[in-house]
Amino acid sequence: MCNKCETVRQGVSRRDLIRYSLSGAAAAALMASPLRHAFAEEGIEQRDLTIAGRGTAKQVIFLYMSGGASHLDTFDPKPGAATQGDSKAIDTVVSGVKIARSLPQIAKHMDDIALIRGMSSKEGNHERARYLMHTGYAPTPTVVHAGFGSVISHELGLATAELPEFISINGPGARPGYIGVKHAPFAIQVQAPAGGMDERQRPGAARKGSRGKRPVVQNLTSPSTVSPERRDERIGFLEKLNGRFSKDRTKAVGEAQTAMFERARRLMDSPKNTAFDVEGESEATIARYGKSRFGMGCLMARRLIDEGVKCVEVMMGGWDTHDDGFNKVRALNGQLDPAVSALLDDLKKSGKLAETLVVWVGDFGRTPRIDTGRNGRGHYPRAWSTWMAGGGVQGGRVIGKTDARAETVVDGHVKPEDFYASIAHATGIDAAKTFYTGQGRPIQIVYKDGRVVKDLFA
Amino acid sequence: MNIKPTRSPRIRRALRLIPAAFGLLVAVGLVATVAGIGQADERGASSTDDWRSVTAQVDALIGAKLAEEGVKPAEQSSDAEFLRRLYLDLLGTVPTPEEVRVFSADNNRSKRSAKIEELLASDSYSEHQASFWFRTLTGLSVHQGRQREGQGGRYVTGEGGKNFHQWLATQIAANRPYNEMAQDLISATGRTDENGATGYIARWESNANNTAGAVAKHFLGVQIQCAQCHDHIYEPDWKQKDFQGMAAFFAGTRVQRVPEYGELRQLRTRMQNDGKLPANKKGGKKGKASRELKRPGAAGEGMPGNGMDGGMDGGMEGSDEMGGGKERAGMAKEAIAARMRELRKYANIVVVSDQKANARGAKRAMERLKVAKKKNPDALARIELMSTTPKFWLASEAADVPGISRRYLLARWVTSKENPYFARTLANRMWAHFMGRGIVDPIDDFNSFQAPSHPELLKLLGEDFKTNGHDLRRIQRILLNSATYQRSSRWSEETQPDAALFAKAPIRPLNTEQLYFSLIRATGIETRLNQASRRQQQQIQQAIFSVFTFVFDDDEGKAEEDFSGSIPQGLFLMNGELLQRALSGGKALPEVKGRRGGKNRRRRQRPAQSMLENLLRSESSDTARVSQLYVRAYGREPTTDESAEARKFLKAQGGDAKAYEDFFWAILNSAEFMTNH
Repeated sequence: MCNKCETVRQGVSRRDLIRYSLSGAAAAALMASPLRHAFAEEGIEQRDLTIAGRGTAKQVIFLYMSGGASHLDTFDPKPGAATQGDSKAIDTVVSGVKIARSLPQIAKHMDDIALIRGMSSKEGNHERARYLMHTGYAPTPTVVHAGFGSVISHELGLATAELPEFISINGPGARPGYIGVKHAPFAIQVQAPAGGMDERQRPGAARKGSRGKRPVVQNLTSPSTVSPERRDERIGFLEKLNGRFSKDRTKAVGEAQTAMFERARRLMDSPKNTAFDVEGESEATIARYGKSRFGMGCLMARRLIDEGVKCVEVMMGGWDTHDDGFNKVRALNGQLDPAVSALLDDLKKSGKLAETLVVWVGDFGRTPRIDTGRNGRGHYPRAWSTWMAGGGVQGGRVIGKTDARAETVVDGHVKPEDFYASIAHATGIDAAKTFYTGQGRPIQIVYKDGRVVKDLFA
Repeated sequence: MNIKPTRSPRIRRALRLIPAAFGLLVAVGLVATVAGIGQADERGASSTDDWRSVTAQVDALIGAKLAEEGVKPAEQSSDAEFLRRLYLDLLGTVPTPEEVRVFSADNNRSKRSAKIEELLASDSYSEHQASFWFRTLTGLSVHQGRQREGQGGRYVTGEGGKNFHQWLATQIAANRPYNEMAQDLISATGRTDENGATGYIARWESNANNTAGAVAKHFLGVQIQCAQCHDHIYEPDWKQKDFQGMAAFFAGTRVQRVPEYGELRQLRTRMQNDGKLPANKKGGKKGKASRELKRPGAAGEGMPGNGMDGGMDGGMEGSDEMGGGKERAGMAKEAIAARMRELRKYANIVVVSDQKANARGAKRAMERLKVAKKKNPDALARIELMSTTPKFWLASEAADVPGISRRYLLARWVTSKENPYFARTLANRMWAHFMGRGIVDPIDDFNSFQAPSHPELLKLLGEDFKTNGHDLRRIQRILLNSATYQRSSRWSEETQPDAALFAKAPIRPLNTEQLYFSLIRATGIETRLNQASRRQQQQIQQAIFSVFTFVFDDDEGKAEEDFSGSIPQGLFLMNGELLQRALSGGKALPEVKGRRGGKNRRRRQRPAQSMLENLLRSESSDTARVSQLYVRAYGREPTTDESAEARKFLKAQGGDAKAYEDFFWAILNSAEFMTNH
């Protein structure tokens, strides 16, 4: 991929770029210069700022299906087709739109959801696909792209936020790359409630005892022997040491460190960090979300969104259903269904859905042709489904179409870069904005060919 | 030198048979190698000091530019500053208090030079340099547990990764000429658990474009992937066909799982089906799994329980489910489970090989693809590359030679003296490694727009490297002995000097490995680790490192002087168990679980004395204690002011053991400890 070349198009010479991008300060100068304007306005052709829905979403939830969910057995069923296998379909509240029968509650929410059935990508390997579907760029050896959550944290996050602005539950799926560690995914682990389901376990497998409780957030509390006063005294002395070291060297070192401890301290001391105590939720609420690891993840996501966190990712594993696929997907749907519908319900009830973009996506789809030996499906990036809801997205519609066997996109082709151009549009992020890697290379937030999928919004 | 030749017998045979058909460039390459060997032997007598004149020229060239710009460089570093920097750069850790003391007491005028020689000859030098090359060539840390990276990242973890690292360390220990090393890296074939050199190609999977991009970046210092999709926009001479010409060298390269992996996968499926064989399969090794290995693209697919699902648990997912089988399959299941445990270590082992890459090979591959009814876009792209004529970067085309892989042809050209890019790339890389910034910067991006800051210097170093047996130690010796390297990082003026002038030593955040090794040394954990068995040491190291890497290793592509940290880093340093234990005594080491929890009862370690507790007992004065802790962490004595300030703080904190914990906590988290300066 050749994002690097893009910026040169406007007649800005390479030499200018290098000169301007040598250091952070110079990059900042560039951002303020007329040159930057040239990139932003023309970097992506035909960027249509008049499409409705721009900037409606203030917060984003990514629901990421690690392993790749079968489109045929979730959101693009083909009843009667040879490729359909054992899964059945049901009608939804949107007339003419059917989804898998094992998703009855989501079927009732289809009027909130814009279903993209024309998704098509080119990476059929889990790791490469995960990179692509988190960053909008294919992996290359020369640069580490930023996961989009880190982009959101950088673009929409507040410097004064008490909680991290990008939190990844049971992930993370990507690194902050060129955006920098300050916006790295804040990774937390959520477990299934007692007696609940964990999507990574085979349905019906004997459940082992919990491997012991892992804290949701690592190192959030001080060791019992270190009181807050003592902690602050330590940091006070540290700042003295840093002042001395920086005095006849460079201030940057000490300042950056002070900022890091400050942010960590703010999180520790914030009353908002009770949002992490998801297990304090009532039995009834937990049951509504489906008593599963993914359900707890969605519930946690809702709590964090309520506290103003800009981007939350919830990962759900288990979708790599090569063997015994139909039973497995049915069981996974059984966990997905209540979690997603409770999440949408709660966001609606609190009025947050209008400003919260919920995105459901994964590695890729699964081969329509059934592997009869293993009774499952392989990896299939050529045609698959994803959806968005809330945040200015018009629900109740289906965008794009696959053929009768769900093998090829016949209408409404959406590429990963279009997908991210659309998310950037919904959140009001400038997809053409150019960043510089530590090595001074320019990269645009969304790969240059990305086009907003207009039908999502208008 | 006990270096195993990595050429396959096939290639050796071919080399004997067809010198005439070999093509001019390759012949030149051969001659170059013969000459190289001659020099390698001479190198044994390199106790001659001819490198000193090169060092003098380095300083003269840097000095001339400084004078021209009217910038007065920083003063020479103090002994302590120099020693700490040298240890971090060469060994990846801070010096021990003893080493600091001995060095500072040494009155010999040439002690810096002698120290450089001592470290260049040490065992840990090879280890650390291998880690440096591992990181450079793979973009990953050898100590990292499971990789989240795609592009074959998992093939350089576990056994495969250890082997690759070991191979690098062996080459460096033997001071193998860099051109020979590079040739092996680019052309190696075989299994990653048998020939460590294959790790480099395995890291890029079977993706010809990415492999070509990586080789060009690492050994030619150019970013050619921009020309992957179209002619380069600002390099008029870089055409798309130039890129394809380079990618064509890897058209036949295959990175595939070993047969053991196929068996493992099959057993796994059986396990899931309660011990029954999948339909149509009659057990044995000739089943689907082994057939699958021959299918292009089989590698990397369908490994259930990918990294993300498992969080940080490691191991293969699903192994936890083994227990609950049905009675009737009980026996078989146990046997299967045992076999699976044996096979698990092969899960990420791959074999690197070459298919015939020419028009006929392409035709055959196409037929196979048709038979398999697979329209894999990757496979199609590769077939197209097979019928593309390979072309050396901005140079001549390479004629295919029967029996010799295209990769091998490229490796010969890359490392030949006719290639203008190879030596300068290495010289620039080494310069950046020690001076904090390349003469061309960014270092892997030579192009016509980016002038080197010191062109003659780059030329000088490249030429010297080329004509002196591609000797890595020699070029390091030249740089480390220079006044430029040995400057102080102090700069009293308001504005910082242009980094490209090299007027002062750079200040750089410690990388994950340096931070880890420095921390365990300063806190005394290292001493305790050394008392454990080798196996235990490795386990403990890995346990700590996995936490460490998770917290700290998100800074890919970070600018040199960017010190920003993340919240998890802040939390880890404030509240993390590792530092806490190291400071407060008790069990100074994390516990290591036995293979299967419960069965091998681990022996409880008696709570060990922490370094701080020992210090409090052995030294009675605060002044002496503060001094010792300064030396441990900073490699220097405190100034009078610093000592007074420290004692004041200790007193305010109550002057007891806890006060010392607070004090040392601040020291370990301070910029002076966390940077190389």
